[in-house]
Amino acid sequence: MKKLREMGRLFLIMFKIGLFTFGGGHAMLAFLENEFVSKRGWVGKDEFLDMVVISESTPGPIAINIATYLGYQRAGFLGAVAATVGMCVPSLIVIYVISLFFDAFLSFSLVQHAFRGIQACVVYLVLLMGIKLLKSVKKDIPSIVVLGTVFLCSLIFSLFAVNFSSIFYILICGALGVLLYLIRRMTGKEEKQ
Amino acid sequence: MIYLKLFWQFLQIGLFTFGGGYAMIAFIWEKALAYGWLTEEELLNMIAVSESTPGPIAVNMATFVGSSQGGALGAVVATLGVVLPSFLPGDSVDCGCASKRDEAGRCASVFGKRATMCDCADSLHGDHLAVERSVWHPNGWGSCSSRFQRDLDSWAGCRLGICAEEAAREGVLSHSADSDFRRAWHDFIFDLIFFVQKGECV
Repeated sequence: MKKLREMGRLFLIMFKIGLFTFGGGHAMLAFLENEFVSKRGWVGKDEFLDMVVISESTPGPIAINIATYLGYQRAGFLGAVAATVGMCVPSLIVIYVISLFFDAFLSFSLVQHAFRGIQACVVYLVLLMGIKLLKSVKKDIPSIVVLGTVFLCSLIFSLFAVNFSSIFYILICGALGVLLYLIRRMTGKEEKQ
Repeated sequence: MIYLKLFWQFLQIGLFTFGGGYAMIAFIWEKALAYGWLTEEELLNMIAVSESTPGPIAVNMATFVGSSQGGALGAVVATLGVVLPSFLPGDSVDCGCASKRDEAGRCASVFGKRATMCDCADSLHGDHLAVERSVWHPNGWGSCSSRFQRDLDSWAGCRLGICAEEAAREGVLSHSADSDFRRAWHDFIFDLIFFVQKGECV
């Protein structure tokens, strides 16, 4: 019963955050910190930072990762389920309702033209995010090598219209990262000797 | 059949995306075009809608694509696919031990603070509903109420942890345990009203 209550609280907190936060996972972190660290003190500040780092480096959307993590830490597996469902339900409802009316909405010529403008803006937003991420990449040789290789490959593949899934890029880059690390370790040892 | 396909494709997307919704755009773009789910123009609209509605962008995009292909069930299935990989590390990465220690420290400080809160101490033993009412009508409590509320929050947070025995000895917390869920619910409504009035999150 106690667990059920805890799940209810987690669900409501996440529901609220999911409903009110615009701009995705990173915008959500501030609200999560406010709810879990400042307001309720359920999680320590350092621990929260650890959670953020782990959420960023595990697969899946950041917002969902950290919701699952916080829920799990608070009330075990069921807590994780409650928190994650709470986080997703507002989006599900809002987007589903929008998608019901979206086509009808787009048939207004005024809206249609508005969206033509918005489409250009979206390109800018995604590009901006890409540049931000590019800036945050470590400026050492392995990162630059991996980045350059992927960029060149995708350029060549798209020029020759070769079908190559992005998933392979991630798998190959992961392997490349390990390889570069091993090479560096080996050469580092040689230098020491 | 389309549900299975949606689930499987979005599970892949969730599994191989590190770093949130923006990193997912390339995958969704690729898959939506490959399967003929959306045109390029629709994809741009999808990103625009996902960014300008509340919630995680990844979930928004999954829901959008899912509902365009398979209605409500499609939306649920696609979202489930994206979300499921998040549960993988949950069991293996457990920092419960550190948090327990934190909680114990926090509890000690809260209990220490309680002694100094001479004004509020008596009411603490009183009706929990009165406390709730104070949230709704902060004027009735004056300057004390917000601080008191905060302490009560962290105190409520302590209940489950290492402090359970200590709390039981105090004989206070068991009293308020029943309204725990109700309090969360009231919190939620209160924040909702605040959001509608001020247009920002508490």
